[in-house]
Amino acid sequence: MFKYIVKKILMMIPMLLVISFLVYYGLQLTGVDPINFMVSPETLSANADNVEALRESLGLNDPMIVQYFRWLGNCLRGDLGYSFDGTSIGSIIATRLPYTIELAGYSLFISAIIGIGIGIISAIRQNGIIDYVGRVLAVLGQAVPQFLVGIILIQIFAVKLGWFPSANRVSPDAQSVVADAFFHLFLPVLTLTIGMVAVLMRYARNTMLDVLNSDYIKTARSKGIPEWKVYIKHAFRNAMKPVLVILVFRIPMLVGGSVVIESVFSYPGIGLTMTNAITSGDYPIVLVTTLIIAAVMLICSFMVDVLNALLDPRVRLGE
Amino acid sequence: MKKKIAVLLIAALTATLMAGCGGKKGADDGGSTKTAASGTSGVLELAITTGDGSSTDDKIPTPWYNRTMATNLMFRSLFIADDTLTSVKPDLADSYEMSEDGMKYTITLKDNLKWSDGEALTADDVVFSIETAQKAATVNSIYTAAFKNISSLSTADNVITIDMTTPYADMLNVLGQFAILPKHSLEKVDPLSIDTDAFWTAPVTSGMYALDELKVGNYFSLKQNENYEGTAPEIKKVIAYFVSDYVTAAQSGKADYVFGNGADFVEAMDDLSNYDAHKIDVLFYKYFIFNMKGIDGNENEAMQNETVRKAIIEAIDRATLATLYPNATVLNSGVPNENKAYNGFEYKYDEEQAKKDIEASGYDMSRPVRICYYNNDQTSIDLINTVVYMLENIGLKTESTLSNDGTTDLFTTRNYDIGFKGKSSFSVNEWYTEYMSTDALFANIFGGDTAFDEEIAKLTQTGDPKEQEEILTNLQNLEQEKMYKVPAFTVGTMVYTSDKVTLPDDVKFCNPLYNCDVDFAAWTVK
Repeated sequence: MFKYIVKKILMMIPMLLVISFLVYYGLQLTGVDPINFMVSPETLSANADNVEALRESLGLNDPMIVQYFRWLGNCLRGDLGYSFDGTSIGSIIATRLPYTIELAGYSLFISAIIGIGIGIISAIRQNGIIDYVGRVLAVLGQAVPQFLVGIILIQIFAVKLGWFPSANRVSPDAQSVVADAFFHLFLPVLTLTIGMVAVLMRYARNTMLDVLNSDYIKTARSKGIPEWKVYIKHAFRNAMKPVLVILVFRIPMLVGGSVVIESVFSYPGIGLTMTNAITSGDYPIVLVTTLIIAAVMLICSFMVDVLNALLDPRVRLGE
Repeated sequence: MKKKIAVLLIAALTATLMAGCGGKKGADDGGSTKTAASGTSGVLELAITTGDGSSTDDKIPTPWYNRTMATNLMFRSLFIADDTLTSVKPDLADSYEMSEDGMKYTITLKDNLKWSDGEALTADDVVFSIETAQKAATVNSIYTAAFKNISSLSTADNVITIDMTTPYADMLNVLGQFAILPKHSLEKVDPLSIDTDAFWTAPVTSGMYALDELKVGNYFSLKQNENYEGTAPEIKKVIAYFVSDYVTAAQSGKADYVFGNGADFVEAMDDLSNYDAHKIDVLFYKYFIFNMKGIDGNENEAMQNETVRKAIIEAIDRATLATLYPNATVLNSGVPNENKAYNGFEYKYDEEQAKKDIEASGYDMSRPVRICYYNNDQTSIDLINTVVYMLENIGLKTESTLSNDGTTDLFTTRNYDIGFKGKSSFSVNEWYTEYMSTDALFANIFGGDTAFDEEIAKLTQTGDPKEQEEILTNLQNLEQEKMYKVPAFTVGTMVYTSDKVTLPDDVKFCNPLYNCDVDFAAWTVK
């Protein structure tokens, strides 16, 4: 097991390198000149010499492969480089990533409680009112795009009712840090949570139903074990193993989903930074933020493998 | 072993969630100094949009590219313009003199000017700013075009002398936009990266306001500048939020002043009963350009045929296209129709004549006319679809391409026949300088025709209104004869102010991308 984990971790390094190269190459293939996002055609025309000096100073005249390896070398020395607007990417990540982790973390936590809770109740009370309502909501939650949910929530709760802010993470006039955080996080967290709850609810319901119909549950019941004990001790624990795996597997999707949600809510996390960087052709930021999302994906995939092995004795990693 | 790994995994997951909970603190570290929170009563709220890539949310918008309301409140110029941007009065300057031949400007600064950090604002700051702008890359082209005519700058006490190599008619108007920056804060910064320097996270300012707090990704707030020598503004505090779009910010009451010209924007803002609309005529041209040079400059014989270009323009009903925009005015040259210098010529929409002309031109009708455009808003897409329909009505085949890098595609790759683009001009002169045979971009598609050069040179130099009128008439005749580019219309901008704001009676707004006197000191907010 230990060997397997070390091997997996070591394998992530070449995978990240390959991903970084592909992203770098892909960005170059778009043929978009970052300078054209920094200055207007009028400035480009009137100020050609200075713009050319700027292009040279940013290293944009070098061949793609030279630019890539220069970037990679700097990264290996712990320097993530600078965005085209002159900000250290390290400081951008340090400032923005906690916001995204905060958003994804709360969404994961709340959706796990609500999704699993409703899923379990739906399975126990199969074909009851909660089950029907839950199933309809699950279909809706998965069918409606998250950005649309976000826009609708903004229109209702921020614009019409004025209960929550429509943008940002911090208010200048906040009296309480906790209340300020609650008000700013409520709508984006709710948006991410709705989609996530729908998935977890359906999955928890189905696995719980499978478990409840299994032979060992029938045996437990026939032995006269109280029903609540059957649900909690025998069914719930076993049903949760695959749900936990799904939960971990959804983390990258939460981080990826935040790209859209942060833009909708002007929430200053990695996602918004990435969107703005794409809009303004800021390759260095696009590259690093894409790599972060890829790294989260790889780590979670690895965690799923290990979790599977831990939860299911039949799985033997590395054998 | 499995248990240990399970504990480790759970710990990792918990740590991730805990890190999330600690996000606020980490984010605070990214900002600057925090002052005591205050209520928003009497606070002017602005919105800075980052969704279009024109501003970043980690620093204050810089004033050397586009001016914004927030930067106008922080940075001053030697002069300040009126709403037409064609007349100025002293601001940092106390007085000025221009020699009769326009070759020398002598400008005297006001006494006892100070920066927000208490340092003296001197003539050296003015000279430093102009010299730095000459070496900078990301500055508005109006400064580059004006300052390249300066031969020398000198100072004596608080007097600045600017000597010119050639007169530049717009010099005072340009100086009315050019923000003076503090030499003592920026003299060690490379001019090429001046707009990205850390200075913009804690700028030293000369205007009514100074930075109070910058909260990266969220907002920045301004407080009154104690060292401002003029009348203190009524509004004690200004907050500018970084937002993705103006409309949502306005709908949720977080923007007391917004502007725009898009159909969607105007429609949404007009629906808000708590906003007052102010219509502004600006020189924002929407126009067609013909690519005479072809792909990679290998000549485009089809568009070099004057009759083909004439037929295409006759086939396009520009008045119909103008209805797609809320405040569009059809025009027939770079000179607006109401301008005294307008020569009265009109491009006529005539589908039948267009059919005859395209037939007479010998154009190969199996060859599609390629249209390139780069604005991806729905109005632009609708407009191009309408143009396609109109051209197909005269029997032409068409292909339209939405470019994601307009500058490269229009001026370097050049794989198109007709380009559709926009241009926000400071003055009419800017429209015509695109015809210069030396223009680094337009010469690539117009072919470097020298026919315009002499008249344009005279236009940029003369300050005499009669002479300007005559030159403009000549240039209009020339551009209508050559038809390298054809204006469709100008799009007016709408400024919206919320009903929380009380404006002085006689205030007039100018193009919001520039600075003019809006008597801000007298503004009040409920």
